[in-house]
Amino acid sequence: MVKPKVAIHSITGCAGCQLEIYFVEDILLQILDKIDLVAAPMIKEQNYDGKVDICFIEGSVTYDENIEQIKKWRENADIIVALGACACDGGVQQQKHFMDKEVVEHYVYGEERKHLKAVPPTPISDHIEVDFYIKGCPADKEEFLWFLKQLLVGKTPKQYEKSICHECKLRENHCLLEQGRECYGPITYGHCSIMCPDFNHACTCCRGPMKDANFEEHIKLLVEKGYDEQQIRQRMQKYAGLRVEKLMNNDKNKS
Amino acid sequence: MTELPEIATVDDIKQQTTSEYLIRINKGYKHDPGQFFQISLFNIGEAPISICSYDKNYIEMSIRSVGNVTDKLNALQKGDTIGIRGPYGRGYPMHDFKDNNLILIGGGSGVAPLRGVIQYIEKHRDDYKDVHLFFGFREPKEMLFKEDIESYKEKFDVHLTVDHPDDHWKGNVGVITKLLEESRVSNENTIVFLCGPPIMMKFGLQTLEKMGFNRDQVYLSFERQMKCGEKKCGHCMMNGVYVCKEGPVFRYDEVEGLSEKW
Amino acid sequence: MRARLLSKHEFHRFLEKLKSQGTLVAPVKEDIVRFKEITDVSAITTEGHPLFPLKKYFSPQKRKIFTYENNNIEEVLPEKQYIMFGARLCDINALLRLDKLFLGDISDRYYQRARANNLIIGLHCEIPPNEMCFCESMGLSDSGYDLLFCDAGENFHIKVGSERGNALVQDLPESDFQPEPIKTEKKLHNTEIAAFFENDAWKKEVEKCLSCGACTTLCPTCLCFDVYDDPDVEMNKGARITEWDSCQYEDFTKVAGGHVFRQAREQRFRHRIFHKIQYYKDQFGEFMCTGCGRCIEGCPTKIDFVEILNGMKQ
Repeated sequence: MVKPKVAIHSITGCAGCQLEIYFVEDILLQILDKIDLVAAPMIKEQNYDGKVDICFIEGSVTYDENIEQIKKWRENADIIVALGACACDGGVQQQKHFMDKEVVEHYVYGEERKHLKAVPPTPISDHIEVDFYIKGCPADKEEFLWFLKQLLVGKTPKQYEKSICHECKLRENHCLLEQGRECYGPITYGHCSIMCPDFNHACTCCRGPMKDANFEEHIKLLVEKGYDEQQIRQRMQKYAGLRVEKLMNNDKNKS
Repeated sequence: MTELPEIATVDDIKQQTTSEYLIRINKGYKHDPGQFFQISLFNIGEAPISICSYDKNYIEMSIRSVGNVTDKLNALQKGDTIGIRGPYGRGYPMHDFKDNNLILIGGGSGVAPLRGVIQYIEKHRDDYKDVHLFFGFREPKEMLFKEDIESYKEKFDVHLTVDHPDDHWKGNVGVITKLLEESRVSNENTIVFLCGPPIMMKFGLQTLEKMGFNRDQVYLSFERQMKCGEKKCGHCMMNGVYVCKEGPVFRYDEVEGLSEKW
Repeated sequence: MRARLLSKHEFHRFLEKLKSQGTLVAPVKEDIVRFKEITDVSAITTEGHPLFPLKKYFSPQKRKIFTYENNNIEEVLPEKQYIMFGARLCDINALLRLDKLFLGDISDRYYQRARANNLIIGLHCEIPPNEMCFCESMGLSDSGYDLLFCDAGENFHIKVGSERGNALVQDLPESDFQPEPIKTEKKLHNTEIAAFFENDAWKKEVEKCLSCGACTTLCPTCLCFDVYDDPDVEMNKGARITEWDSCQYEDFTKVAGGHVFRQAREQRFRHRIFHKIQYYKDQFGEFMCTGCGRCIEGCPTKIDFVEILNGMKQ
């Protein structure tokens, strides 16, 4: 059997998702035996630039060259998988959409900012067609593996549709909302190994909102628990604000 | 879930349309027309598939590529193996229809289970009176069982229509309900099989009502997500009714009151 | 079979004896009460109600139905034999309800084996352990256990429900105890709900549903599942899995082609309630719901279906 050619590429981001997926140590060698990893600049010196079967992209689009780059990868790949919150939803940096651009850039780069060619950060799906999404900040290695295995047997993976809350309840955790914490588990996509609530950290919505997230009621719930509404809205913008906004507008149009 | 799949071999696979293949497997099962099997490919998964034949030595299935399992099934070759368990559900109670006229109305892939009914009728021809077939497809190139349908013309009263004709099409154009109404078939001692997309069944029921058919003369077949086929997984529930077990074939009066049927 | 008497001084010794005969599972008070496998019997509590029910010991959340390698199939059946202490009558009745689905025309062999293997020692509720309990309205039967512990101050009276249970207590002194039926403050008054299917209250009251699925995850009688194949990295083998699913998600009723039969949030919510209170009863003559109150307790926005139904007018 011909091994599928796989590329793992990165645009603007912290590279944490790549780092995470290379941590599947116990079976990494077995996986490398099943694929032909032709490009993975983080761990390989020689990287091939041509046609591949599967291309994972992490990071968000933050300047024009990124767009050219991902378009080329799209042309060269049968399947594009957005890897992690930045690629899927814009990630932490897309908060810039909800702030004053000048203020942000001045804060980070001072006077040097005049040389910047940055554009407001966007998910890769704003520019190219994306086949699959592995959400999260960082992407979860178990989910990556699950995805990869499905692709390798020739299946179209199904996007996971259940909430963090569903999985957290399965873990029999003491509900953080119940303890008065600011948790976004009920409206956030699960399949992340429930790392945060397992360690007593409330869910911060890093995997982005579920397609039918009931934002208004969740906000009400958190306000009742004493949290500030504006702060809640900002928190929901942290990783996937653009999508949150889009879904909220849909809700408004519906009602 | 309990029943484990048996392994069966593909005896024949034929392309029917751009997205549909007819697969014959080498195992025979006792079953009623209208029942279904759970067909699986290891690593890929399982899907409920209706039977379109009636023979004790083999089963045939017309499979439309709509997902992982069906895509892969349609890429199989003669000699490949599949997993199969079943038959499941309640099919058409053919015994109850003895000495009746039969009207089979099929739309698109809804024609497939009706082919199983026809093969049953052919094996028990003396049990039934007049048989009328009304089959509709979106386009001529999407027509299933072309050769079979040709042969039915010699035995039964056959009506065919397409929504969008091509240059070669010389037959009827338009919805099947129109054809049905124009045919003026009698409602006396007659059983109707209605199988197709929900919208077609809905309009079909309206037409049949206009033509004087009672609710207990019409049999429908429903499609739902079915993971187990054993009334356990819960996906197929239509209000309180398990379609996988109590259906997929229902007499219309049995489900008329269910708000979740469409 | 006659009831027996166990002094509370002997309680731990009795639990030790149970532990020596299988894997002992019992409620343990940590940050919340959970059913856990017991290593130290002194950790066991008889207070409170585990938020997570017992169903995981009979059909785990993710379960291999069989493994396959090339075309060879090997069925997977439960390995452990559990002795469960501290099941409340709602939990025991929940198993009786599930029996009708999983031991029906086609029995689920895993579930069947687990039911036959696992020993159930109930704990009678003198006082309902939770303010959300409403089991008094749900027609629970006083059966389904091997033994039932009833707290009577200095002693436990132990009702015997099976030969297997009897074998564990036959050395203890006999007693004539009969427990009082459980009384709950909260009650479901409207139990005939067929006429409530079309009711404005669904939309209004369910507006605050977040569709997170916590209710079905915690329900002791929710065992709906998905089926899929999980390939091994080696690709020539793998396992067919059942995984608990939830009717609270849109995808639950999605068919090939994309149509979703229960799209609106309130339709999904209503389906859950109708299944528990109406549909199951139509088939089996009793409620599927056993009144444990977990779906209310565990709901992030505390939607209370009992109050919703009680508020509906014919």
